[in-house]
Amino acid sequence: MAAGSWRTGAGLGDANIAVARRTIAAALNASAKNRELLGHPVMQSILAQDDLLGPLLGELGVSFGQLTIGTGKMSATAEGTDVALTNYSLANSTTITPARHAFARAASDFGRALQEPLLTGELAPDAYAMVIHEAMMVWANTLVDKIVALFPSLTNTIGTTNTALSWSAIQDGIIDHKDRGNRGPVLGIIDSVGAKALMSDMLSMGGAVQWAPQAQGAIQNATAGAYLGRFWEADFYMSGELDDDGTDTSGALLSVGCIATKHARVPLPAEAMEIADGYWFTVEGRRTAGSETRFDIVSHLAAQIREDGRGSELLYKMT
Amino acid sequence: MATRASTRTDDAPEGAASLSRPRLAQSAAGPSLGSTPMRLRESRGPWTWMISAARLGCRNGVIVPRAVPAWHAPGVSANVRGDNGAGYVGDLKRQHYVEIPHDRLPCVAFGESRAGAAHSVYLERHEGVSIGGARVFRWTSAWTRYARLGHMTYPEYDHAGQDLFLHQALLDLCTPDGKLSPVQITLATRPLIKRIEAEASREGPHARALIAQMAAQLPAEHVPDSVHAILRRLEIELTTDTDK
Repeated sequence: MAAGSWRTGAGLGDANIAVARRTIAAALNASAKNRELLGHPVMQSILAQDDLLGPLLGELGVSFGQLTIGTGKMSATAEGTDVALTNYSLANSTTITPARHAFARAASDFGRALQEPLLTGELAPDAYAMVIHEAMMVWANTLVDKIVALFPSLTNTIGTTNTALSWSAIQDGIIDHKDRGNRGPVLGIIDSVGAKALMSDMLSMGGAVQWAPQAQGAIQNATAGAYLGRFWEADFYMSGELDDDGTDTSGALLSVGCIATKHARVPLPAEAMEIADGYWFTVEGRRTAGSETRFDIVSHLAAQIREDGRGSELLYKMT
Repeated sequence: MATRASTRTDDAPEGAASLSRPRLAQSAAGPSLGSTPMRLRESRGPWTWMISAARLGCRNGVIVPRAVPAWHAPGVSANVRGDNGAGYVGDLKRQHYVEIPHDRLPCVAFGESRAGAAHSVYLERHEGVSIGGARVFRWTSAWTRYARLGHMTYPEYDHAGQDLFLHQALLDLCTPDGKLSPVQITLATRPLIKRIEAEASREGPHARALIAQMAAQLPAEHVPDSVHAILRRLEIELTTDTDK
């Protein structure tokens, strides 16, 4: 920058502005993987079922019962003889009780750090749009966290304690999954350690597995984000939200109906300044007593295993 | 404009430098790294471990229950706000799980007794800051602790201590006479044995490494002849992580 007509022979000196323009863009973060999960048919089905249950009109939660039908066989019976009645059996009654979850931003942070003229990149050029966009992301993180919390309590397990995830372990698990009567879309969720172990094992298999189109797809898909590939017709994704017990990590293989969620729609009162109703969440502009205005992102939700046999825990060595 | 160079210790009165820390030795950004809070990722919160007599595994030669964390957080399983996980615990109890009490069983982690621990004998709450600078709490089992190396926060584990605690909890809470039944031993070892036998049909160093890893989990007294034969054929010597 030219000094101009300054009354100094030493240039601008301390009056210089070291950095003139500052641009702010949304930072890369690993929770982007959570949003990718939402597009999978199994997750879409969870949300569709959630929605189909309708609003909670005064109830605290919802309950699922699994009715066993279609397992019996007819017995040979002489004409004119009564057949013993078979009672309906309702098993696995499950209750889901949504709880309030919230995340807040202070409006002053926007004035300080994210003034509109400075915004570039992926951020929306408007602070309100940005907070609504963030609300969707925060809700997705919360939803995924609630779902993965249930993985360690899935009864069926694929893999063994303190050992790396292997192709043949999942192969056996898929057969068991089919053997329980499952069909339809399958979502596999593992972390990067599990993914590396699986890929490494796959590459060592040779022949039929190593050269399968799915294996080639997995090798080449650096651009596919969290999606690893489709093996055994199950879509595998990476997640950074999985829990471990210090030795083993718990991922999962899920079919439609394994996990249920329930959101409670809690409309804001008339006096509230509603910034957005995102259906699964709301964003409210609030002024707390004597404080700055804040944005509250709120969602009432819960997750529960609906039918255990429709999923399996993917268990493997954590490191 | 003042520069940092002008804050030299030799500006101090004679003798003062030897009594106090040189100013340039202090971080320009504030307190030294030694007093900076640990960077941690916030966790879901505390849990109660639930174990079942029939959900077992082997780790480093020890039969352990596959402990399920019944999270206390509302919105998970059947929990409702303020019930400290009673909903989830109740759900698992209906599936014949029993809870590991937070205060009763003797517990040693990293060589020290956990008697009188603040929250639970088997849970620890770590305080730190998130990547955004907010104060966060991370709950782990008592056999995980955090240390710092440069900018890194890394976990340290006492796997043997945790496995021993879980094994003892299994004997105390899930066996009538403090001994595992033959069925329980089969439930714990069979998945590993089947996997070892399956991997043995493959050739190559990767399969060999997997077999060695799995065989190391089995208790020595429960390694069957079929696995011994595979190990002999592949020239694998049995070791556990804790041997290393």
